[in-house]
Amino acid sequence: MQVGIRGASKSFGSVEALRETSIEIADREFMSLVGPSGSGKSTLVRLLAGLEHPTTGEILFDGKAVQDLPANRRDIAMVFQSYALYPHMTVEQNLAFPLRMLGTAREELRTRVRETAEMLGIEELLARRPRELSGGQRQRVALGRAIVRRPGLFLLDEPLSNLDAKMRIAMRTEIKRLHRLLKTTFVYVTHDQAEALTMSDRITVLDRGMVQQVGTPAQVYGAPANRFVAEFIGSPPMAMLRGRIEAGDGKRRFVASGMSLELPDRYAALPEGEVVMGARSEDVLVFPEPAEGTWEANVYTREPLGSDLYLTLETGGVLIRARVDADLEITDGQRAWVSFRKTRLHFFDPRSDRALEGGNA
Amino acid sequence: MKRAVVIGLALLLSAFLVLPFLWLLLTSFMVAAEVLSVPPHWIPEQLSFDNYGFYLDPSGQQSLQAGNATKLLPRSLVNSAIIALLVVAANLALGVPAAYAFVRLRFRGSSGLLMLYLASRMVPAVAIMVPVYVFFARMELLDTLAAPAIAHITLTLPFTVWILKGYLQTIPQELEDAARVDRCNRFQAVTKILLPVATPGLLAAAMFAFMTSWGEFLLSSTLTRTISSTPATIIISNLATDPYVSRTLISAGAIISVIVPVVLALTFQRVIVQGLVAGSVKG
Repeated sequence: MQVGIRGASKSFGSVEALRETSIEIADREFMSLVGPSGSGKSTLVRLLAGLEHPTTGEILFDGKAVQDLPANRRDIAMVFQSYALYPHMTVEQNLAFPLRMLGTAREELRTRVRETAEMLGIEELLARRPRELSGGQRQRVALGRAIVRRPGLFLLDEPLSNLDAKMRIAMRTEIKRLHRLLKTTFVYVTHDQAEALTMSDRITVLDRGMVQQVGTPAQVYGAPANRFVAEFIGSPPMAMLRGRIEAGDGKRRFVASGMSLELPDRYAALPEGEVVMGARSEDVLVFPEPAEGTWEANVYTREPLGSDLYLTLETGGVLIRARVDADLEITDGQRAWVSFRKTRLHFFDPRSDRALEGGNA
Repeated sequence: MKRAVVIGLALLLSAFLVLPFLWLLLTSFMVAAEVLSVPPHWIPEQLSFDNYGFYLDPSGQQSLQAGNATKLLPRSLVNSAIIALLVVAANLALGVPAAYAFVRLRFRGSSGLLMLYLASRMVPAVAIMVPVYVFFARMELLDTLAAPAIAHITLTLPFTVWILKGYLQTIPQELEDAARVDRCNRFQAVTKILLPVATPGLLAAAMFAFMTSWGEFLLSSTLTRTISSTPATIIISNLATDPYVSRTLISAGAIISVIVPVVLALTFQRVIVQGLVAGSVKG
């Protein structure tokens, strides 16, 4: 199913949860809505579900306006954060419920429930009640209840946030697999940028009720449209340094307190003046000894992660997070010398916070 | 030490509540003379079921001695049951939609209205007895089963709405949302999902309404006159003023009249406590 959101707004009293939002979602696409709490992502998915009515704007399913249709008349299924399993029904009855409401014939109902249970590996649980299940099992049943009737659009509202870290990663793969299997449009709400990056075809980043950027994971990670996207997507967050772009002898230079960085030609279009430079943690280079084109920094903290080492460094009054090789010999309180991978820097307008033209590598 | 004091107080309190009832139960198995014996004693010297016989076989030989009063009890129990069931039905039929509206819909004055419901319970029944009587007289409902039933409904409904509201609040909105997405309209989401899940709360409210109606005295005594509408509470109290009725017979009548609420309470006590406590811990 193709989904269109055209200029949709939603207010609750005087609170504007969603402002003038327009997003197009292609048929069979996996679209994530990501943002911090209060960004409007849950409101948006509830508008798609028909559980809320937009204050203004249109919602189109395959080109047909559906904003006035209630939830039960839309071809959708939804997985809720709390799973919302019906506690007075067995797993089997939970799975059968949407089919029963559709008036599915008993024979077909039984095969569909069985198929769904097999697909999710929950055949053994069919006779149990929700309270007898673990978190992961409940999650599977909730997914099952959504896929059992093969809707045109799947809505998943933070479905993994009640699971422990290990289970969450296992279920990511599971959901990805279901998407491939079912060949249906998925709209997936999450506050976890890692989930959005790993699972989606495209990501919509929301903040304070407004779309900040829509793009593939590579686009929102590699070319963030503004500082919010740059800092929200990616972990640890992008380091931000204030400075100026200066031009001289045909080159552009980034100049900040005690730092002067000659930029490659790809940034030639950058206007002179005040900028904020962003560098992802893997693009911060750290050396134990001084070298040419490096700047001295204090090592604040050292977080070994086994494969990688996360360093927090302070230079010129700014904290910079760096992800370096685990065997780099640097200890807390020591000095280190930093530089940047010059081909992967990001430049933002310090007033509007938008990415500068030619400011993304 | 502290624990011993608490247990002691608890025992004292339970004795205060249980002993009168126990006395009632034990005397119902005594013969009339034994109750008056000096010094009084608890355990019947010989168990006698005669007292119950008077009620269970009102046309029989024994009841001739007991006069008219005992003959009225069976019918009055039927009256009590009809009235109480009407009260329960009306409480659920009106209380559920009202509580749902308070929990799920936003409307102007909703909290004020809830407070008004509660305030209506603060008015002592005696204070409004005359207008109530006049009202039912004008409606020509005096001495019908409808009169105590309607009066008890107005008595219980505000509290029922509060109990149900408290319980429905504990049921997450997402359950109904899920039902809506699973192709239920709003009404189906309530009847197929919300109400089954809310069963303990519904039972608690129903029990509360039933027991209040079953035990109510003042309104019933004002609004009924003949056995065609008089509930058991009135008949039992009338026994006490009947010179032909012995104390042991009163005890047996009282025990018979509490069998229904006691059985209900014991059967549903866990559910009732669950239903009443819900919403009070986590609002």
